[in-house]
Formats: sequence, structure tokens, C-alpha cells
Amino acid sequence: MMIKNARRTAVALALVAFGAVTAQAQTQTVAFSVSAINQIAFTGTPTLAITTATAGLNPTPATDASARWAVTTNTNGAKVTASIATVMPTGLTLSAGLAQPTGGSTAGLQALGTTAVDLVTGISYLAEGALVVTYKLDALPTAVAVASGSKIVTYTIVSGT
Amino acid sequence: MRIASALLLAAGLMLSSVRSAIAQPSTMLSVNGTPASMIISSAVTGVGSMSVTDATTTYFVRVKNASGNGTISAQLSAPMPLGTTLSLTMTPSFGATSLGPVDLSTVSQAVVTNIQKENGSTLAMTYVFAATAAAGVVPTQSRTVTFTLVAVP
Repeated sequence: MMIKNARRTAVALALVAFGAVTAQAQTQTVAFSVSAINQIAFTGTPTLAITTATAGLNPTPATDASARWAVTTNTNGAKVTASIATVMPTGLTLSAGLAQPTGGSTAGLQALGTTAVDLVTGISYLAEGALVVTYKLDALPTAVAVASGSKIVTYTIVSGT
Repeated sequence: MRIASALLLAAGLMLSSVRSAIAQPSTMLSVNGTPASMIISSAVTGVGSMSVTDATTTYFVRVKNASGNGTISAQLSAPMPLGTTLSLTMTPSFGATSLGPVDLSTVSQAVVTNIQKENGSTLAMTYVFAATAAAGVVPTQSRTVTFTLVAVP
């Protein structure tokens, strides 16, 4: 009887010593969400100067394509509008155009005023940067010479659905 | 009297050992805490991936020498929404190997391996929830992460 017990004990000890594969499980809950995101960013400080003209024509427009813009949206059909806070001096027109991001549509150069105009539409589910911003300054002969001036252009991204 | 005291002392020591053995299993895994809801609400404009990080939770692991070599695996209860990922990094105990960040899925994947001679440590866990713009708006939802510690002798 004692020998049998000793054998059982030995077997049990061996199982403990060499053990079987053990596994334990635990759980954790992770909650998440993504909000509607519509962001644009602009870099660069363009300068436009009209200094020449071809005789018989309006003064030669000045253009600048040094600025860049970037966009991130996770909505469908976002658009970007632009406006300036105050009207341009008489005879001067400031236009802006945004290169279209993939899948979007650009309206090309649009004259800026105090009422927002659409520059790019149909922007959906994308993140792109280093897109060209083009500015153009036109002057009529009636424009009064302006020593220097500046305008802040306000761009707004309007969320899609 | 002395013999009786000695016997009581010995019995007490044995009882203490038994209690220790019961209170401390040779392998153990527990996760502590619940990550705060991970909400992506902004982006670096023009950059494809948006993400949020949570490093508020911890895990406790014990794999004593006799228990061999341990591996912690993790898997999700359901796939993540299209365009999103949930990755996990678990700080390894001394001598162990972290495979993080591991993009979690419904398939069990090793996150920490080679856990051995670990008498018990509480270590950091870091979740990163990332989404591309293509993911769109994702309403609040959750996934259960199941962790499994397997110790091979």
C-alpha cells in the first residue's frame, strides 16, 4: 500500500516538474471612433507686382505660384472656398486658383471678393499636400497706382457628407 | 514543550509554503484597466494616416522558470473597419521579446515571446488606433481583445 502511494506521489511530482503546456486568457475592451475631419493648410507668402504693360493693352498681369496647400478630409464631396475681407482697390482684381487634389475639380482662377467663391469641389476621402496655389493680379488702365498693399485671403473647407 | 513548539513552528512554515504555492501560480497573466475611448478628431493636414495613442493600461505576467518559455498572443473579437488599424505594443519583461507594434486582427498573433524566469512584473501596454482618410467617419464601436499566455515547458 505504501509503495503504491509512493509511486502515485512520484507520478504526480513528475507531472508538476515537467508540466504540460499551460494557457491563460484575459480580455480587454477597446472603444474607438473617427470624427468627421476637414482640414486645409496653406504655406507661402506670395507677392504680386504689376510693373509693365504692352502698349495698347492692359497692364501685364502678375502671377505667383509659389504657395502650396494641403487638404485632409474623410467626408464625401467637401469643397474649398475663398474670400477677402475687403474689396480690392478700383481697377485691380486679385484671383486665386487651387490645383485640384485627386478626384476633385478645380474652378481655376477665380476673382476674389468679399463673397466666398468655390475654388475646388468634390474632394472626397483623401489627404494630399504640396498642391499649387496660383495667384494673379490684374489691373485696368483705370487703376490708381498703389504703392503697396496686402490682402488676407480666407480659405474655408466646407464638409461633405 | 520545546518539541511541541518546534512541531508547531514546522507546521506553520509548511502551511505558509502551501499558502504561497496556492497564492502564486507559476504562470499568470492579467490585464489591468480599460483604455479610454480612442477618438480620432484631427489630422496633420495632407498626411495620409491619422492616429491616437493610449498607454494607460498595464499587464501583469509571471512565468516561473519551471514553467518554461511563455508567449502572449492577442486577437480581436471582430475585424477592424476598413481603413483603420488597432495596433498593440506590450513592453517585454526582462529577457523577453516584444514584437510590437502588432496590428491586431481576428487571428491570434504573438505580441511578446520568450518570457521566462519572470517572477511577476507589471508592464505597459500601448494601443494605437489609426485611420486613413478613406476610412471615412467611423461611429463609436468597440472590440474585445483576447490575450492568451501560453507557457511551454
